Amino acid sequence: MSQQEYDYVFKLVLIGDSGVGKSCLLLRFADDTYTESHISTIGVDFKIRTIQLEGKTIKLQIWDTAGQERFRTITSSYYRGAHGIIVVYDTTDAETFEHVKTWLHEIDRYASENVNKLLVGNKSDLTSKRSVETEAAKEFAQSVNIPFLETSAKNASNVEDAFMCMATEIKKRMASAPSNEPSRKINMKAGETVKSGGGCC
Amino acid sequence: MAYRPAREGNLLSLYINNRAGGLIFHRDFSPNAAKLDTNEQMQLASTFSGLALIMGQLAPSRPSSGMQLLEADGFLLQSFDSPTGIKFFLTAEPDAKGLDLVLREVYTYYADYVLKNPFYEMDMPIQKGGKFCQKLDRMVAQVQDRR
Repeated sequence: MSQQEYDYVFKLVLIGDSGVGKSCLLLRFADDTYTESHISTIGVDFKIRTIQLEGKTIKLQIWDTAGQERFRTITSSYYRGAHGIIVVYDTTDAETFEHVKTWLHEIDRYASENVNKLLVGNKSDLTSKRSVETEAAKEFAQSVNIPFLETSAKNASNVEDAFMCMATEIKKRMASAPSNEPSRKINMKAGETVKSGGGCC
Repeated sequence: MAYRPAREGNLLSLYINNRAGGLIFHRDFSPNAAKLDTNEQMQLASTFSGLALIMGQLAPSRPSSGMQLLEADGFLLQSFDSPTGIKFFLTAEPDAKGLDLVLREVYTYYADYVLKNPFYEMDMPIQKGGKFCQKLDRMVAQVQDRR
């Protein structure tokens, strides 16, 4: 019988075009679990990292679509209740950067309003193939008010910082969030199940 | 008490998922329960939430509730969704009976001892060792006794 306790579970969601290296990024961060995933075949893979923050044990559960976005049924449930969303693009592929706007639009549509966001340019070590300049991405991130960083297989520290920073922000937000904010209102009729992507926390 | 206890097979494990599909409670009731660590439990529980949703697409006429019962030769899985989207599911040995009623009982305990606790944060893990756990363990012990 497992007696391992955790105080919080935060849902983080990873999105971006396929091939940008979402799963690689996670591999570097999620130290606890990585098993060759049979799970991705049904749409979502999960990786979990346990962290300590202000004396609390927090499980960061990261949802990775593993390129299975075709399962549109689960798209809304995928975003539902997410505390943080990480949008990834490939610094060597300008098209994936162009699509970031589309992904942000998806977030507006499905995720709760106050969700924490982060923009990540991956594969920054492939300098000779670079087609998205750091400055351009930085400018864009500022214009939409989202933190931004570049990562590569070589610098795991950036990834670590990004996730920890996000967890800290989420925890701070939760501690100060009034529980009766309007977005949490649920309208229910008898025998009906809640379908709205209503914000949790 | 409304539930009709399982007469034959033992209850194995209980899982509770929040509205976002994240595991907020897990408890094993038998040494025969699947041996999984916490992260594996979280992975499987969230996978089940997604799977139950996808299964809805097989329904000939919508709307249909998600998956409620899964039978295999080695075990049973019974699931119950609260109107607010909390998912309770229970695994048991194949010949267990009345699992749906056990789940309704669990739901009552959840409503009474988790939600009415002013210090409980919605959608976050349910702490073990609280009143909810005590009530749950007592109920399960009764059920297992009547095998």
